[in-house]
Amino acid sequence: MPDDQIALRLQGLTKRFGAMTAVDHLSLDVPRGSFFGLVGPNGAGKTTTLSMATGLLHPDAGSAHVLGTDVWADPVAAKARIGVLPDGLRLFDRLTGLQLVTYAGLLRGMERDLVAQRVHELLVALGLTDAQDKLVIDYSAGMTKKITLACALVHAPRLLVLDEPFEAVDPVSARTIRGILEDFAASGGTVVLSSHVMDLVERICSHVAIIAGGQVRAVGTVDEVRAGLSLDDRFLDLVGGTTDVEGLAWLRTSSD
Amino acid sequence: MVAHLLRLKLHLLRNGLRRSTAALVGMVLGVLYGGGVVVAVVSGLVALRFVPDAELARALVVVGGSAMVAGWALLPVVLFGIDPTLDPARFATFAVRERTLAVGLALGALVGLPGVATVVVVLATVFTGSRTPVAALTALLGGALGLATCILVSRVVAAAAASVLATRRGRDVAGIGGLVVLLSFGPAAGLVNDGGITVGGLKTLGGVLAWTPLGWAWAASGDVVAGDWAAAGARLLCAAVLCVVLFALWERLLVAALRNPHGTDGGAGGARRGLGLFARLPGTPLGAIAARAGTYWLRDPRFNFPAIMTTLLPAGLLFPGLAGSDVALAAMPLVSAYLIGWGQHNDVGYDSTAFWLHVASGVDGVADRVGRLFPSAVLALVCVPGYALLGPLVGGSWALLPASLGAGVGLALSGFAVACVTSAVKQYAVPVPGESPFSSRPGSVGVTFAVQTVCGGAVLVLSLPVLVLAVLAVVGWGWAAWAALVVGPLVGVVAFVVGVRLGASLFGRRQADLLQDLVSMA
Repeated sequence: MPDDQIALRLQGLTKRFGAMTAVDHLSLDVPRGSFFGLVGPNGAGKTTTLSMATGLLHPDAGSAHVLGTDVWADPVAAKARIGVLPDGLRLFDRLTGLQLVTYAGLLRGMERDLVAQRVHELLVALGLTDAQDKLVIDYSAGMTKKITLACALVHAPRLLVLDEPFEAVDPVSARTIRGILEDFAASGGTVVLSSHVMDLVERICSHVAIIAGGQVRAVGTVDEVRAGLSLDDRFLDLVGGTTDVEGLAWLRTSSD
Repeated sequence: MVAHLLRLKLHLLRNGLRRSTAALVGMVLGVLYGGGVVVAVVSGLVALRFVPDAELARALVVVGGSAMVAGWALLPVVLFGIDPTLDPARFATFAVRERTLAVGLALGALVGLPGVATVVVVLATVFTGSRTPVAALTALLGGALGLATCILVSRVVAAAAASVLATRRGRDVAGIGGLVVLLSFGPAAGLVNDGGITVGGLKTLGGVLAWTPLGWAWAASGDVVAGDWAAAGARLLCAAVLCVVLFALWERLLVAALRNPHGTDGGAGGARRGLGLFARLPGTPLGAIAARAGTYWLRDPRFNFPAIMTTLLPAGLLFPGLAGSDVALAAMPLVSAYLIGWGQHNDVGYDSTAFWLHVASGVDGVADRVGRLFPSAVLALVCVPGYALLGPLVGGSWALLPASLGAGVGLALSGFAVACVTSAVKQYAVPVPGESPFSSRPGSVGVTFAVQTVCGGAVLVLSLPVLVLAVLAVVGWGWAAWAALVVGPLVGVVAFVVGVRLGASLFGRRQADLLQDLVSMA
C-alpha cells in the first residue's frame, strides 16, 4: 500500500507495565477511508494500542503515524487530525452537554462562532438538544457515549479512533452513532474502533484486525480474515480458549 | 462477619501499601511521628501513676481523654479527610445484617495507625489509674467505654458529614462550623500566652470536663481513688449510656446510607442555560480552560468548599490582631496570598482522568497553565488587597500597608509560579469528582505530604527577598515597607513568567505521563 493511502500506521509499538507486556511489537496499517475494527479478548491490549496511537500513552518503543505525521514527534499536528473517544476515562462531567462540546471545540483553537454552529448541528444529529443544558454527570451511558463522540467530531478530524463506542449503548443510540460513523467513512474519513462484539464488527466494518496477547493475529478485509467462517468462529480459532462449560451443575434448575 | 470486615480493612491497608513505595514511606513517617507522640504520652501517663497529687493525675487524664474524643470527632473532618475504605454506601449491595455491619465498621476504625495509637494510650491510662485494684478495674472499664466513645463518635461524625455535605446548604453550614473551630484556636493560643497553664486551672478544667460527655469515661477511676464511689458509678453509667446512644445513632445513619447510597444531589435544578462562563471569557483555548476552571469552582464542592475556607481562614488572625498585635493584622494578606497561590499546586489532580481531553486536543502548555489559574487569580485579586486594607481599617498600622501588600502580591505570584511547574510534574491523588471534599485517598499520604512540603518550601524561597523586607519593615525600618511594595510584585512577576514557561515546556513533554499517573490513581 502506498504511504499516502494509509491513515494510521503503527510500527513496532510496545508497552510494558512492570513485568507485564501489554502490547508487544505491534504493527498495523489502517487504509484511508476504511471502517477498521479492532477485536480481541479482554486484556488483549486494544485500549493500550489505541491510547498509544492517539498520543494518550507514551509507547516504550515503536511509532505511530497519522496521515504521515508522527504522533510522538509532532503531537500537535497529529492530534489536530484525530478525534478520540476513549473508554473508561472520565469527562468534565460538571459541565452541561453544550458546555462540554463547546469546550472541546475551543480547546482545539477553533473560532467561537464556528464552534457554536458545529456544536448545534452535532447535538441535533445525536438527538441531544433536549439534554444540552443538563449536567453530563446526569446523562445515561448511551448519552455519555454520544456526547463524547460529539467532542471527538467537533474539530472535523480525518481519523476517528473510538474505544468501545457501542458498549452500554441502547439499540436506538447505537443506530444513531452507526449512521454518523458510516457517513463519516463514506465521505473519506477513516474510522478505527475496538469492540468485542463480533457480529457488530462483521456487519459495519470493512477491515478488521484480531489482537491477542498484545500482537496482531490476523488482519485484512473482513472477508479475508474470516476465511469462509463467521468472524466469531474464526476469532475463537485464533485466540483459542474452550467454550464448553464444565461443572456448575447446581446452576441448572432442571436438576431439582 | 465482624471478623470479615476487620480482615477486609486490614487487606485494604496492606494492598494500599503494596501498590506504591510512596504510600509505604508515608506509613513509615506516620509510624515514626505518631509513634514518638505515643511513646511520650505513654511515659507521661506511667509517670503520673507515681505522682503524689492524685487529683492532678486525674485532671490530666480527663483533659487528655477529652481531647482524644474531640480529636476523633473533628480531626478527620477538619484536617485529614475521612477514610472512605469502609464507606457504608459501598456495602449497600451486600446482604449483611445492619447491626453486624454497624459493629464491624465501628471496630474497623481501630485498624490503622490512629486506632492502634489510641488503644495503646488507653491501656496506659489503665496503668495511671492503678493506684488501687478497684481503681484499676474502673480505669479499665472507663477506658473501654472511652475507646468506644472515640470510634463511635468518629463514625457518627463521618456519616453525618457525608450526608450533610451532599446538600449545598449543608456545605455552607459546615464551612462556617469549620471556621469557628479554627477561630477558636486563636483564643486558646492567647490563653497559653497569657501566663500559661497553671496547675489550678488545669484541675478546674479537668473538673468541668469530667461532667461533660467528653470526660465521663476518663474521670471514673480518679473518683474511686478519691473515694467518691457515687460519682464514679454515675460517670461510668453516663459513659455507658452515651455509648449506647452513639451506637444507636450510628446504626440509624448507617441504615440511611445503605438505603440511599448515592446521596442524591438534589436533582440539579434547571437554572443553567446556555454557555455560562464559556460565553463571557475569550473564545480561545486559554479562555475556555479559564471558563471550565471557573465553572468547576462554582459547581464542584471539591473546589468551592476549600475556596470558602481559604477566603475566611486569614480572618482568624483578627483575634490576636484586635488584641493589639499589629504583626498579626499585617500578616493577614500574606496568609491569604500564600493559601491561594500554594493551593493551586495539585490542580491537574482534580481533573482526574478527564484530563485526557486536554492531552487529546494537543493543548498549548501556556494556555493550560495560565487558564487553570483564572478562578484563584480572581480570588487573590479580591482577598489580598481586601485583607491588606482590612488590617489598618480595624486599627493596624498604615505604615505597614505597603509591606503587607507587596509581600502578599509576591507570595501569590510565587505560589502560582510553583503551581505551574508542579502541576505539570507530579500530582497526588485527591477526591475524585463526586466524592466528599473531606475524603482522603488511602495510601497516598506519603506523596501528598512530599509534594505539599516541596511546594510550600519553594513558594517561601521564591518570596524570601520580599519577606525579609517585610520583616525589616515590621521591626521599624520605614523604607523597607516601600521597597517591599516594589520588590514583591517585581520578583513575583519574574518568578511567574519563568514558572509558566518552564511549566508549559514540561507540560508539553510530560502530559501523557501525567495522564497515566492520573489513570493509575483513579
